[in-house]
Amino acid sequence: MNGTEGLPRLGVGIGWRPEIAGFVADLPGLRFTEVIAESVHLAHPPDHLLELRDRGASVVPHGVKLSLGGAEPVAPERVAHLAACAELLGSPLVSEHVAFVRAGGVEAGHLLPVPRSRAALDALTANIRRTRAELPVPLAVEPIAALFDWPDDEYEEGDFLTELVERTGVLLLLDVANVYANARNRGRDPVGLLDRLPLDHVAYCHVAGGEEGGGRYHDTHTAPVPPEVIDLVAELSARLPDRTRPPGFLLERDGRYPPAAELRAELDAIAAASGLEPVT
Amino acid sequence: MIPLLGLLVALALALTIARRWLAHRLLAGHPPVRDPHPYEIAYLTGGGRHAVAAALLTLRLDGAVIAGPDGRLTAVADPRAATTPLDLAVHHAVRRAVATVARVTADPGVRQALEGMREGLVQQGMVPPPSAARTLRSMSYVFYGILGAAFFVAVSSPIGERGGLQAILPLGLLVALFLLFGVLGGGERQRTRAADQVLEHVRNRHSHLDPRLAPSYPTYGIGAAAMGTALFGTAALMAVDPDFTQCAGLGRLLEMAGPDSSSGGIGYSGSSCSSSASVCSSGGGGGGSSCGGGGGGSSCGGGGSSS
Amino acid sequence: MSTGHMSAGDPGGLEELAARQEALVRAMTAGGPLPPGFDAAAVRAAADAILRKRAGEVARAWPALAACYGDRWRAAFTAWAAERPTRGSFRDSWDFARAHRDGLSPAVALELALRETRWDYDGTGEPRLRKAAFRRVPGGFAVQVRGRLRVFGKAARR
Repeated sequence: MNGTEGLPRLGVGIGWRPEIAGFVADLPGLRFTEVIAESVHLAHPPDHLLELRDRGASVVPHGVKLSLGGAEPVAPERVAHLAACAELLGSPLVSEHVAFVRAGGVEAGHLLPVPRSRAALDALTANIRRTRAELPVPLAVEPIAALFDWPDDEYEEGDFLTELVERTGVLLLLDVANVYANARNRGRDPVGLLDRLPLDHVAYCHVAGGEEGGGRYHDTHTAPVPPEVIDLVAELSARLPDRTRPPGFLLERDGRYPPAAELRAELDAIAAASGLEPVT
Repeated sequence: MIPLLGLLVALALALTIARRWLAHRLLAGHPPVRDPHPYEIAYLTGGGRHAVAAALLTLRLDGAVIAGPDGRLTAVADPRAATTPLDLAVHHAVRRAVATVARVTADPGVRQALEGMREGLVQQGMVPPPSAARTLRSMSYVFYGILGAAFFVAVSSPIGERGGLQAILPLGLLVALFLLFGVLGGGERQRTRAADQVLEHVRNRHSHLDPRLAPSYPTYGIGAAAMGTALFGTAALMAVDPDFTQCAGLGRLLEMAGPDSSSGGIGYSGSSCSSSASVCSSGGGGGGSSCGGGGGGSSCGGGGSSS
Repeated sequence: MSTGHMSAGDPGGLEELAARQEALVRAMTAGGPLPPGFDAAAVRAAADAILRKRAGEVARAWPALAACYGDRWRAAFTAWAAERPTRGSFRDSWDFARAHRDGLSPAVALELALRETRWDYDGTGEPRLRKAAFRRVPGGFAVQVRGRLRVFGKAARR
C-alpha cells in the first residue's frame, strides 16, 4: 500500500491556464490537467475547465498558498477551498507544496523552502494531517525549487522527504524541473537525488522550463523545457517501480506562452521520454 | 372629414404591419454555406472600419505594416500569410502615400474590397441585399406621407364647436401610430438574423479569445488575432499589440465603427507608443517572424507622449 | 529515522521555527535584517525573483498601469515593492498607483478614480464595494449605484 492504488491513469497533461484554455481544450488525447486552486472562483468556475471535467479528464486542484510548511496551522478556509475545488471538479487528488508562503502575518509572495529539520517535519506533519482530515481525496505534496538552503539543515533532501512520507503516508508530486534546478544550483547530480526519493509514493510529476540568470537556474515556468529536464524525465521513468498505473507527467507553463506547435512538441517530448501515450 | 381620417389611419396601420412582416422576411437571411472569414465576422460586428482594423492588425503580425508614433502607417514588406483581397487592398493603400487609418479606410481600393466582401456576405445570407433596404425605406416614406396627410386632415377639420379633448384625440392617435411604427416597423439592420446566430455560434466557439481570459495570441496564431479583433474589438487589439493599436489609432477607428466594436471600454489605454517590446512576445504564428521590420521589437520606434 | 519520539511534536521547536520563518520573510520582503548563517547572495537572488514575479502579476492585474511605464515597469515596481510585502496583486497595483499619481497617464488616472468610485479602500484594510458613490474624476464625474457605474463629461468619451 502506498496510496497510489486508487488513482486513475493520468498520462501526459498540461496545466490549465485561462490564457491557453483554447489550446488545452483542443488536445484530443488529454485526460489530465491541473488548475491553480486559488484561481478557481467556486461560484463562477471557468466553463472551459468544466468542459474538460465533463469530458472525463482528471482535473487536479494545485494549491500554492496553503503554507503547509509554515509553523502556524494551515488556515481552515484555505483547506475548505481546496476541498470544495476537488468536489466541484471531481478531482482524483489535490496537490500542494512542501513550503511556506507566509509567517507572522507577512506574505512572502512565493514558495519558500522550509529548514530540513525535525521542527519543520513536525510542522509539516501536523499541517498535512489537518489538511487531509478535510479533503475528500488524497493529497500529494511537491518539493519546491529553492535558490537557498537554511544554514542548519539536519537532513539531506532525499532523507527529509522519505521521513515525511514515512510519518504521514502522503503522496508525492515530484517536479522533475525542481530536481534539476536544485541539483544544478547546488552543484549536485540530479539522478543521485532521484535514487534517494521514495518513488513508489509519486502520484504524478511536473515538468517545466526555466532560465539561467545571475549564475543561477530559475524555475520560472516561462521558458522552453531544457533537454536536460526531458532527459531527467526518462531517467526517472526508468527508475519508477512497476505498478499498474504509472504516474502522470504534467507540463507547467505560466507565461510567455509559445506558439501552439511548440507546446505540442514539448508534450510529445514528455510522452516519448516517459513512455506514455502522446496526447496531441 | 372623419371618415377620411379613419381611412388614412387604417392605411398607416396596415402599412406598419406590412412593413413589419416584410422586414421579418427580408432580414431573415439564411445559414451560410461556408464558415465566415474573421474579416467577415468583423464586418458583421462593426462594419467596414472594423474589418479594416482586423486586416491592419493581421498585416502588422504578418510583418508587412508598421505604425509610427505620429499614427503614420508604413508598408515594410510584402504580406506572406495575409493575402485576402482586403489584406492586399489595405496593404496597397498603405504603400501608396502618406497613410493613416483614416486614409486607408477612405481608399477607393479598400472601399472596393469592402464592397466585394459585403456582396459575398449578401450571398451568404448574412447581410440583407440593398434591394431590401430600399424596399423598407420606400415603405417608410409612404408611411410618413400618409401620416402627414392624416395630420393635415386632423388639424384642418373645424374644431370650433367641439371640445378640447375631441380636438386632441386625433392628434394623440397619430402620435401613437408614429410611435408604433417606430417600435414595430422593424428598423433597418446591417445584418440578418441568420448572421446574429452565426455571430453567437462563432463567439461560443472562440470563447477562449474572450479578453477576460487574457488569451495568449502567440499560442493561438495570426488567424486567432484577427478573430479576437472581430469578436472583441479594442480589448483584443490591445491584448495582441498595444503599441501598434495605439500608434495607428485602431481603438478610435473602432469607436467610430459603433458601440459593438469598441467593447472593452476604457480599460485599456495606456501611454501611447512607449517603446516596450511587447510586440515581439505577442506575435502570431508565421514562424516567429511577426516582428519582421518592427525595428527592434517596437512598432513605433520610440516616442513617449501619453494619450 | 525513527518516528516514535516525534509524534507528540515539540512545541518549543515550533515556536522557534515560527520566529525563524518570520525573520526570513521579513528579511526577504520588508527590509528586515537577514538572520545569520544564510547565503546572503542566494537569498537576495530569491527575493529579487519574487519581486520580478510580483511585477508580472501586477502587470497582469492592471495592464494599462504597467503600460504607463513601458520598459521601465519592472524596475519601477520592484523599487517600490522591495520593502513592501505583497497584499495580493489587486491591492499591490492599487497601492502602487496611489503612490505614483503623478506618473500615471490620463487614462490610468481616470481608471484609478473610477476604481475608487467603485471601491472603498483606506489603504490598509480589505477594499469593499461601495453601495453608492458620487465623485469628481479627471475630465468629468462618476456616479455609482450598487455596482453600476456611469461616467459623465469629457471622461465618458475615453
